[in-house]
Amino acid sequence: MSGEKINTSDLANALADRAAITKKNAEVFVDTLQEVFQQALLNDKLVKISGLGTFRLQWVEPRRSVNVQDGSPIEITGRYKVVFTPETSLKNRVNEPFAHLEATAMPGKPINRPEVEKDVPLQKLASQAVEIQSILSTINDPELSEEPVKEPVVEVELEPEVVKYETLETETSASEHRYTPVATIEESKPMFETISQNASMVSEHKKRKLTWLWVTLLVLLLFGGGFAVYYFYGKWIQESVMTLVEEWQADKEFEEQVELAGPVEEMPKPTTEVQVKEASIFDQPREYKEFIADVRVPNGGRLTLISQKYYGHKDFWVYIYEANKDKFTHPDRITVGTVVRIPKLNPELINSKNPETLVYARKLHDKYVGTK
Amino acid sequence: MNNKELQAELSKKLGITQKDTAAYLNAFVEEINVRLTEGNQVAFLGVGVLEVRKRESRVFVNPATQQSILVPQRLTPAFRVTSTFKDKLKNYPQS
Repeated sequence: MSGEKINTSDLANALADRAAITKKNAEVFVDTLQEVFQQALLNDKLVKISGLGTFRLQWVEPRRSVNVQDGSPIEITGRYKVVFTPETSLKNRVNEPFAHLEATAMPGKPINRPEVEKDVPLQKLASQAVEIQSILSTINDPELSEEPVKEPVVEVELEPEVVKYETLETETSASEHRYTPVATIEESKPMFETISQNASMVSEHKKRKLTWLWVTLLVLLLFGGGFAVYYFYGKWIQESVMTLVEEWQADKEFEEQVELAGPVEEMPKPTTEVQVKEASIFDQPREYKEFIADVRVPNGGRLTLISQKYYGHKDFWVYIYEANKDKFTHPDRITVGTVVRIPKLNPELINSKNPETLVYARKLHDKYVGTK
Repeated sequence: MNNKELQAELSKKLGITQKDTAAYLNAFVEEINVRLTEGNQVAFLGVGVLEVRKRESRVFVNPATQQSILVPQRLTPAFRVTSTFKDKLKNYPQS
């Protein structure tokens, strides 16, 4: 391809050769053609030349725009533009070099499939987190732990730790365990790595690492909350811990044992209680001693709205009600101007992502609203 | 105005037969065709420039079937209006 610029006189010369006429005649012909063509285009708005295509005048409506320099509005006037539609024969001739290429259906999956796959791991991760949360809470719950949740991924290899748990339970001091969960989980990582290597899935490995992180965080959180509860309900919890321990021994195939038993193993009683407390988070009598805010009920205010504001979900209004029972005759009856104290709650209790908290809150709802 | 009308008008103005006019016109168009196929930019009757543009290959997805189709690269004739003719058109009222 040369890419030269051919002007009208070049064309006239070439025409003279091609049509065997004089150059002068050729020039006259091209000039006349130009004149006729332009006139026809303006008058008829359309000129067809066979072998070439169609030239058309198309009206462009006036439109508003802005001056690029100073942003002042200007109006672009309506005008004609020339549109050229080439004939198929010309198209084909021009496309000669690539004529052998044909549109081909691409093999395999549709092209947008990879995007879909990109999203899936995220979803998996999120659902895994939720899953693990609920598994954790069911396992932590001494009553529910009788039905073991089995996960194929992690094997029974941590059994010994479970046993240790029992013996060490009474020995270690409270100050140590903040750090122990991290340590044990790191220990279990290499094990986990070998498992995933067997599966030879690197991406899954990464995902699991993240879930481990999650679990670590959760366990740490539970410890913190558990301490507080221990001081109030120490005795009761000790008893329940013992039963829990027995149950744990019974079903050793738990995946979660790895996480739970690990941290617990080097812990004194207080921490184990944490777990139990967490487990039976709903069974614990709630005491409202810390308050995060006082709210004067506005006109049209409702406990559900206040709950939505402070706890992120309207169903948790029952806890506000519990903390302010003395101010109500009935939860539905609320006087404008009443000052309601918003209790500080265990974040797990008002975790709206955990379906169980919602179920429990609704149970309370039925209890309070149903009975006058 | 179609091709026939154009020929008639031309032959009237030039004072030559329609047959000749058709021959010249065809030769003229053929010349443009050839030059264009060679990849040149051809000035066209004071109105604009005919040229060849390359359309790159692309992947087209049929929205109904989600089937991907590879559309190959291709060359296509294109027309660019010269600014002189644009100016002429600017002052031409809508009709």
